[in-house]
Amino acid sequence: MDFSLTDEQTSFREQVLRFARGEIVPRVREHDLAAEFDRESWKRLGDFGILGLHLPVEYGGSGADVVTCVVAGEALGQAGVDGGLTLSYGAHTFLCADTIFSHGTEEQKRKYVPKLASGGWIGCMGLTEPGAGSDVAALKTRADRRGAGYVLNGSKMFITNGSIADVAVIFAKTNPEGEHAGISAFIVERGTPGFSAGRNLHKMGVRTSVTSELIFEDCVVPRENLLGEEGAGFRIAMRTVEWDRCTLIAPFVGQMDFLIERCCRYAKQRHQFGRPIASFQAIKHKIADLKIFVEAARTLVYRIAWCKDQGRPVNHLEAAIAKLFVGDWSLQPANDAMVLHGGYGYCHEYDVERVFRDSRLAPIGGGTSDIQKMIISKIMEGE
Amino acid sequence: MNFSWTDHETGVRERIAAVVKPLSDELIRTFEQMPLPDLKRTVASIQESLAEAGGFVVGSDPESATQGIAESIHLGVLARASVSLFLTVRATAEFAGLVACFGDASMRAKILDPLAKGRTIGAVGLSELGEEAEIGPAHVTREGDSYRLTGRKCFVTNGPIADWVAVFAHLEGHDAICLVGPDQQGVSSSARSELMGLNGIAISDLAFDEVLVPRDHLLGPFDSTAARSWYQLSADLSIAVAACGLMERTVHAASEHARHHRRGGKEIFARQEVRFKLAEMLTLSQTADLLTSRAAWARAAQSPDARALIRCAKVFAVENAEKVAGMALQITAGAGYRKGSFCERAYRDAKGLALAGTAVEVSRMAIADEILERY
Ligand SMILES: Cc1cc2nc3c(=O)[nH]c(=O)nc-3n(C[C@H](O)[C@H](O)[C@H](O)COP(=O)(O)OP(=O)(O)OC[C@H]3O[C@@H](n4cnc5c(N)ncnc54)[C@H](O)[C@@H]3O)c2cc1C
Ligand SMILES: Cc1cc2nc3c(=O)[nH]c(=O)nc-3n(C[C@H](O)[C@H](O)[C@H](O)COP(=O)(O)OP(=O)(O)OC[C@H]3O[C@@H](n4cnc5c(N)ncnc54)[C@H](O)[C@@H]3O)c2cc1C
Repeated sequence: MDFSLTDEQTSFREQVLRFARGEIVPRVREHDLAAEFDRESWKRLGDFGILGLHLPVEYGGSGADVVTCVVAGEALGQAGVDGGLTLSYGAHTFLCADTIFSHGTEEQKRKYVPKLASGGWIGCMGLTEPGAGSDVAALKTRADRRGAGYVLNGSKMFITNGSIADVAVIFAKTNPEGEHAGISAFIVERGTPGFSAGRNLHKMGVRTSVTSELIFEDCVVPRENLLGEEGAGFRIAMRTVEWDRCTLIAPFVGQMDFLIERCCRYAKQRHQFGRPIASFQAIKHKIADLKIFVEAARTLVYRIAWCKDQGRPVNHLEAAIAKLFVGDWSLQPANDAMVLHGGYGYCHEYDVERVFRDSRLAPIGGGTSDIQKMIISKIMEGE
Repeated sequence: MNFSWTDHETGVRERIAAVVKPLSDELIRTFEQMPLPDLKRTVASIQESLAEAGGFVVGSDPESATQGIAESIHLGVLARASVSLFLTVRATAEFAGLVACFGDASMRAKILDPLAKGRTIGAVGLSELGEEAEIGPAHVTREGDSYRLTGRKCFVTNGPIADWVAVFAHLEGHDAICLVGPDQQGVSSSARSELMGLNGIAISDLAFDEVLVPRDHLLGPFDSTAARSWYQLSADLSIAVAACGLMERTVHAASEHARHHRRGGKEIFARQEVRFKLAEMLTLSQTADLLTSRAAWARAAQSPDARALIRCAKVFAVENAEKVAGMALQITAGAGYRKGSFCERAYRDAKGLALAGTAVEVSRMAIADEILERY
């Protein structure tokens, strides 16, 4: 085994840290408090090359491997970039752009991927529905064949970037009788008649990312916008959510590293009982637990990234374990970091409460912790 | 980055597995009651087989010794069979590592060869009674060209069966290590300690009453705590590997039970309350295993992160071994709670691992101190 990063990855990590600290982090608090998407930061991410990092150069990306994407995601979190922006980036790049790149026709790839890789267009992915979250096969949005295309009817819920997206990857049933095999994937552009965004949701955390309802009312989508084959939607969705359990959770791990730095600095300068609180064992215990979490979680996230780089088509066990661990085991250290800051921990000044709020998405988005346990136990049962 | 074993590593692991395979649970259990001379012979013969398989690497110099300790990760399959036997073998390797790292060339030539072949058994005495005890810390005084060692060490793994013991003691305010044999005048061992778990290990307290230590059997005195830290990190890494082996086996045992045991017309594996516990157990087991492998790799690669990673791995692995063992008992319930069941043993063994080596409380303080210095 070898757990080292290459020299290029190590220096890229430094570049991302520097870029994020200088160009993005100073804008975070204002946008988080206003709960608004920061277009300027988005543009900067695009200019820096993050948004198309792993997409091939000929499609406007940088051709990086998955491990490098995890390096970048982790560095964004570690620098103090909020979970909202990193979620918007993840949904855009991995759930939308990569899905089109991995399953699209050459024409579809040429048409959409370069625009997404630059950040000029924003992408989203709509799988979840008001009545179908964990139980994906229960989705009700229909895509009925009509003439040379399909007519979509239904709605999607909790869609990251939904109302600001220029293009959406949408999962719908082409065969309402069939369960998994009845699902197909479509590319739907903003402005397509019958496609609209409903309300944006007010959220506890990841507040700078837009989370929307999407509505399809007799929305006609041409046949050339079918992504992959008819009926292949569930398979595509499962490969897509694997990104959720890999690159999308990397910033959550980085954020916990950010908390370590915040906690150390605060604990050294805050005095109580005549000495810095850093000298109390209970404070050190919290800092140590943050570190233990980060190192454990980091190893898991790099493992799934490495597995993906080996070209293995599915890595369900590795992905589910990483997602479950990051989601569930980050709660206590994130909470500890907040409490370590006392009253200030509950206020916005030190950013730790934001990280706490943002981190609470980890056990929900991309499949809840229960769903990860279902996957893991199913694989164990089959062994 | 590479998360799979290299061909060389796979070869070593397969050869170790072949040595471990005939060691059935029944056979390993007999070690608990075996007369000490028989146990000593048995341990030496297992060590020899492991050495031949490349699973008991005793370096001949600091670099190869550290490499050897890092490679203890491949012995995980032995920990899976018996945590006690694993710790027994590792105690010899850690003794050897101290000699290789801190001894001079002549000492290495004299002591290391039989150790590298697995034929002799080593032990390390660092822990002592609490400061409230009447007997003070172990200490060495000069006597002409030689030294005299006086003191008491407790909880010494292999204490009753060791051919060599490395005893940490103070010499004029510095750490030093005395290498002593059990038959030397003034050396005495208590009876084998009876423990709550880890019953396969032969542990005892060792007393040293004015033991004569020739100059060439003394390592140090050291200006720093390097030898002590080297040993503690090595022992902590071994304990983390042990905890991972224990967890892996425990998850397997609980999962097998859940597959076959039926209640309410179904295997209990079919119940979410059971299967979700198993999923959590596997998650903890794999996480601990990966983190420990990374810590071992960092040590072999002489990474500046190695110290922190070993501490993190140790705390994570031992605490979660306890958690996993508790969950396994919950799943195996009545069957698991019966004396002699694997899960009942695992539960007791896991507690022992959580106490052995650097206490988790002390490790946490060290982890935090290192980070606090950075910011
Ligand atoms: C901020 C945010 C962004 C999101 N972005 C996107 C996006 O971009 N695209 C997208 O498609 N979706 C997105 N989602 C949706 C997300 O993936 C779902 O919320 C998630 O999968 C859970 O679905 P649900 O909310 O319908 O919960 P439900 O499925 O209704 O679950 C409710 C509870 O029941 C539990 N549960 C459900 N089934 C079982 C079972 N069989 N056994 C045990 N427990 C069970 C769950 O674990 C959960 O605790 C986003 C969600 C949020 C909050
Ligand atoms: C199976 C087994 C094998 C062992 N083998 C060996 C061996 O081969 N050689 C050897 O030398 N030793 C060995 N030990 C001893 C082992 O290293 C010690 O048990 C361990 O270091 C703890 O020491 P103690 O029992 O004296 O506890 P103490 O040090 O007395 O600690 C008691 C409690 O106080 C806490 N505590 C102590 N100091 C602090 C502090 N500064 N801050 C916060 N909390 C603190 C501890 O964490 C613990 O909870 C073995 C132990 C076991 C269980």
